[in-house]
Amino acid sequence: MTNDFDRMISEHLEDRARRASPTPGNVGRVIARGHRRRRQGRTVVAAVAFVAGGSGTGLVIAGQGSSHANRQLRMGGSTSQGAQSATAPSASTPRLVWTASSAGTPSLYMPTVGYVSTLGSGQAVYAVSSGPGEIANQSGPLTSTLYQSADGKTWTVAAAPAGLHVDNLAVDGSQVYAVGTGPANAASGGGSLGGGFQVASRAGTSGAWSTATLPISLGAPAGALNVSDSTSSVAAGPKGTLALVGISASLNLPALLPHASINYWTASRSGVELLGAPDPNACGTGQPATFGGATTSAGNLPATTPAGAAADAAKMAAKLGDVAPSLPPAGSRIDTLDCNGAQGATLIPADKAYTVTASYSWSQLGISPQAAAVVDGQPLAFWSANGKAFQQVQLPAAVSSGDMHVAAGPDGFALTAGATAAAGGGDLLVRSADGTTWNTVPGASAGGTFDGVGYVGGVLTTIRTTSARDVQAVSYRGSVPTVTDLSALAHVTVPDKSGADQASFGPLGVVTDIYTPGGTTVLYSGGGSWSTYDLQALAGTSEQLLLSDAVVGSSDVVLTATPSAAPNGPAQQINIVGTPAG
Amino acid sequence: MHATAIYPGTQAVGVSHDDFAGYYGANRDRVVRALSATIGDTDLAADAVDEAMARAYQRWSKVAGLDNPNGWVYRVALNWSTSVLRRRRRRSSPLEPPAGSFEHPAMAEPAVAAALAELDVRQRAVVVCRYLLGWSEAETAEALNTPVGTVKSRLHRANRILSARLSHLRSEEQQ
Repeated sequence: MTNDFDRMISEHLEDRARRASPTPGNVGRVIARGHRRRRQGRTVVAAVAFVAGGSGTGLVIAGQGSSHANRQLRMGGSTSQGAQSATAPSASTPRLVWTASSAGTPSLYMPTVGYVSTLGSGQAVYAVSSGPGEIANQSGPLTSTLYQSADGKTWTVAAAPAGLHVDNLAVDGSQVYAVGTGPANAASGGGSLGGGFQVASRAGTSGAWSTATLPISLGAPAGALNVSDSTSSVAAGPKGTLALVGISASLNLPALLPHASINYWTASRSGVELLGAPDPNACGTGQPATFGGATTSAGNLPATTPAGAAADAAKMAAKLGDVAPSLPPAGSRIDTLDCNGAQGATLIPADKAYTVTASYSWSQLGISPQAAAVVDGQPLAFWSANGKAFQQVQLPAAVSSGDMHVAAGPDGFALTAGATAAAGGGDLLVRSADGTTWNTVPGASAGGTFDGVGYVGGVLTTIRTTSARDVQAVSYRGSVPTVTDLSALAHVTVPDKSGADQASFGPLGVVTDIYTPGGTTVLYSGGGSWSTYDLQALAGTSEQLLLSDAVVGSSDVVLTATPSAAPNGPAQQINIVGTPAG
Repeated sequence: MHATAIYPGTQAVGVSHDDFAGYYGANRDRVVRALSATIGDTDLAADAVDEAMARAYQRWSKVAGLDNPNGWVYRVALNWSTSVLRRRRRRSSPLEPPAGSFEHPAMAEPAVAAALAELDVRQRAVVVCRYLLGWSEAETAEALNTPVGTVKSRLHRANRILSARLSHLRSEEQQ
């Protein structure tokens, strides 16, 4: 191939790309879809999707007794739709008998945020989702609605804690816990956080809710803090109740320092540093750092496009006629920059790429410790022995509020979350035996990310996607963790390795799934060993399916699948219920 | 949460709507156009990229920290869209991309479009990564989560087809 020939192909593709007129994107819709996915595996419990009847209050999840065609599929057997692949389950992983039900109504993409199963002998099951008939694709906010079920299949709206926008649920024995934001009031001081964060609890299925407000006060001068988003999680077990709050907030430093000349600035646990001239040798002699494909060598203005992996965005933008890479505008916050080398980019802190011209502690700026932690990307953690009076506890400094998963079990609490940039990014597993003292488990993420954490048969278990995009289950029984290669069990090979989609924990164990262009494999463990199931075979369809939700209850496992070709709905939703044999 | 502006290739910490929204706004249409050039269906490309973006949001603190978040989104969208195309094909659609999608009348050289249409989607993805996005073989391998050797072999086969189909254009160039 000649260079001219290469250029001809390149120009043709560029021409075609420019002529493409995509339908306008809707970031709100994408976030709603991603939000639902993100929260599916956040806590010790999983999510559930509903087939709603529209305006009624009753929700039916499996369509029993309806005219829908049900298909019985048995492990190790065959059906008219073909046999399903399965590994041999051990005594600790029950054999599941599956029933698929094709619901007759369009599926609704609900941002379900929590699911709780089994309250003692009452067999009550709770879930939080949007209101009946609401769909995620609609414009406007969705309501947070609490649902209750006796069997995990037929659901009714339950009495929720008054005024609480529920983010998450947990259960310990007969006690139910809900965490979220309370109604706004003048004393809350939470700005867009409404009335602050509250944990509500009640005993049994019909008792009155009692509410405790978490001790949060984001003290900052007026106009200095912009809160954009928040989330909260709760876990409860024999060692107490743990509530986690993640708040996205940015600091308006120019408002705090109106007379200072601010180029860029960076923040840490101790305070704020103002950044001056770039260091032309930050990455070695004559090698300045880069940010977003732009170098820092010429001050604020972009200079040259760098070589190496960090140039990808610049190449793409240039090829498609987009803007050239540039540094953020003056006054912006920068925490890390790239040093580009033969092995790719490595991160360096901003105060190594620029000279520091001034430093301010948080107290000098009038920022409270909790507000400083939020600005620094830390979650706020609170523990209670009785679920009513909460005290703040300190997590390791490296824990950030991104992608938090929390679980409570017989040996205490476990939390997975992203690590701060200062700690090198990646994901962390931290544990506590009593809820107040926390320690990081070294190397737990294997350089990758966590998809979920929970207890299976009383044993702490994480589902992780490694840096090689292998999906692994790690069980922490005894001093040496046991690692199970789920990608290998699912026969996923290199071209299709992309990690797990979700992980859902519950009384019957854990369910995760691996999506490939060839199909979705569902993996289930009740402890010890794993079983694998082909989602299409379970549904008895040749259509490519995506697993929307998985619920691991006390008496069954409920999968909700939708055809991959209709992500924006309406689409035919298929509910698949797995029940332990015998 | 930390970064005041998210630029591809930079580290991001935490998850916020603003960070992701900024990335989505700046990159969504770029990736859609690249994927459209790969699969020949702009509408499907838009759907696929939005699906991939939702997955990126699900794990935003991780994806934003990648060297090339667009590569991750492109790969996930490509995998998703190829599964849809495979399903369409089972329903007796004639070809992976809609008929005629590579034969835009205003295209400078219809023969190039026809030659590209002969490639299978995996070969075309490699060609798009190399010739449209300008990624190296190693970068293409990383973006597509495919061994470099596979990228090389697919590119070799693609180039062989393109070269054969477009030999007359090379002759014209040389004259």
